[in-house]
Amino acid sequence: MDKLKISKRHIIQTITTIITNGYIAGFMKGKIFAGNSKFICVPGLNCYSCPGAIGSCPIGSLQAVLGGRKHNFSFYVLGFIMLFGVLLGRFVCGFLCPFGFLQDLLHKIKSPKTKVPKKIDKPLRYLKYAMLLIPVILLPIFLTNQYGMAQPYFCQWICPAGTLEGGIPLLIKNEPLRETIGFLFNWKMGILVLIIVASIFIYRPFCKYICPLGAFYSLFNKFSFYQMNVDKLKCNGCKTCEKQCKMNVKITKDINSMECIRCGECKKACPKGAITSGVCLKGTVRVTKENEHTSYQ
Amino acid sequence: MRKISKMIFKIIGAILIIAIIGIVILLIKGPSDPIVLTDEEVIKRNEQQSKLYENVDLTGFDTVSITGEKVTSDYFKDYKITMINLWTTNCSPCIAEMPDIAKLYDNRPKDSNIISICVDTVDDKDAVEFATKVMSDADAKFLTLIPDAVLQKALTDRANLFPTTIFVDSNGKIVGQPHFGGRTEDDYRQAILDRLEQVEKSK
Repeated sequence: MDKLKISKRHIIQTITTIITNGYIAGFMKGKIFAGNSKFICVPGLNCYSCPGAIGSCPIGSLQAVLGGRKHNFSFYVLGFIMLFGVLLGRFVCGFLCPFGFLQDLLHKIKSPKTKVPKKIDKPLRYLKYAMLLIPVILLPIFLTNQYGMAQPYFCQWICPAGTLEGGIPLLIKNEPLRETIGFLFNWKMGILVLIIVASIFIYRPFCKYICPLGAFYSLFNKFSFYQMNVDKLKCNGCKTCEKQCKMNVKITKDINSMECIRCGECKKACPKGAITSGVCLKGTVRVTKENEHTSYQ
Repeated sequence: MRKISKMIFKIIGAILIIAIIGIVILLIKGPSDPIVLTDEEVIKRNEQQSKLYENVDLTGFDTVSITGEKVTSDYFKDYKITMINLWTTNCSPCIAEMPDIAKLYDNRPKDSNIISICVDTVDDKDAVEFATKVMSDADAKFLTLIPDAVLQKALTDRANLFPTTIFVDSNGKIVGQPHFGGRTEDDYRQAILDRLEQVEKSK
């Protein structure tokens, strides 16, 4: 029987993208949606200025409040992303982020795939923490005008999701806006095109090296409710999982590493079914030297 | 089975790439370029946003400025072109361009006038105070209005990008396209001069 094999994860990603960008009328009008649902932050990186966006981008909201006139610190936005982080960690990256989904799709385009050499890959992974710290947090707090207001620097200078979801649809529909195109737009467009092209050859380059939201959620991976687990009793050390992992996580050593986006490919690949994942509300039995040879029911 | 899903992803991916590259070419080459995309993301030469401002009727408003002066729609009568700058207290680029507009006001073309409307000062004393401070820091001598219900319905509710600047004639009807984004003093002066010409020609 000819079955169309689309993985469950892609279905969830598609549904998430459609829900978070569901306001079709916005695309037709070329106007940013300003309804009450905009008070809610979506978990993934989805630009507030996308005409179809029904919720707010957490990273954009954070910068807006930090750089705003009225407030110094956003407990509300921070609360939202901490909630997502504590519940899911980077599961959001793997399942609930539209921009991550885009990179997944681009990577499926048939091409020779480039492996980024370790010497570049390892230090570059720290860049996303610099992105979180500097343009998202510090600059909107300190680089302000005379009234204490600042631009959202990450949104303004770096974020490709904003260019793709907000800039392009709004420019298509607003002719006078097109007259304001200058250096900044060309710069952001260059970044977007670079990331799109890179995504074909490298898996999720934005998620690995640049995304501040991924950087934030990664801090929660070790202790989020959603956990990945390797059953050491079943694992035979074949490292098939590590070969399959496109985020280069050392799964047998540290499966809940900060780089893991919880996509579940290792789970599918493991010949022994040693990898499990889920929300563990009771304590997970961690296999230690003491209980290594005990069997649990 | 797997081949079919791979094909579909390949096609989606290819279309996305073509669409994006096409958009890049179209947008970077400028709005006057005759290239039209015929892809999935069809770009219509649609001026809906400016159409949004086409039927603006500013007659019948009666409101106050942030300094307490009463202003009604008769305000436009004495000038051939009035430049109306829409801004909000949260908008840094709006505040950044205020000194330029203030300078323009002191050296504006004959028969023209400038006012601004601070859209979020409605029922917000704190915003009114802040708007007053911004205006005095920018040395702006023109009026800044708090929109009333008529102005809100006719004009400011449509604005979702700031700063937006429109130009109206002595009857309060819009002349030419609205401007989005911060501009320099010279840009605005040229815009006023262009529209003065337009009004002259249409007489």
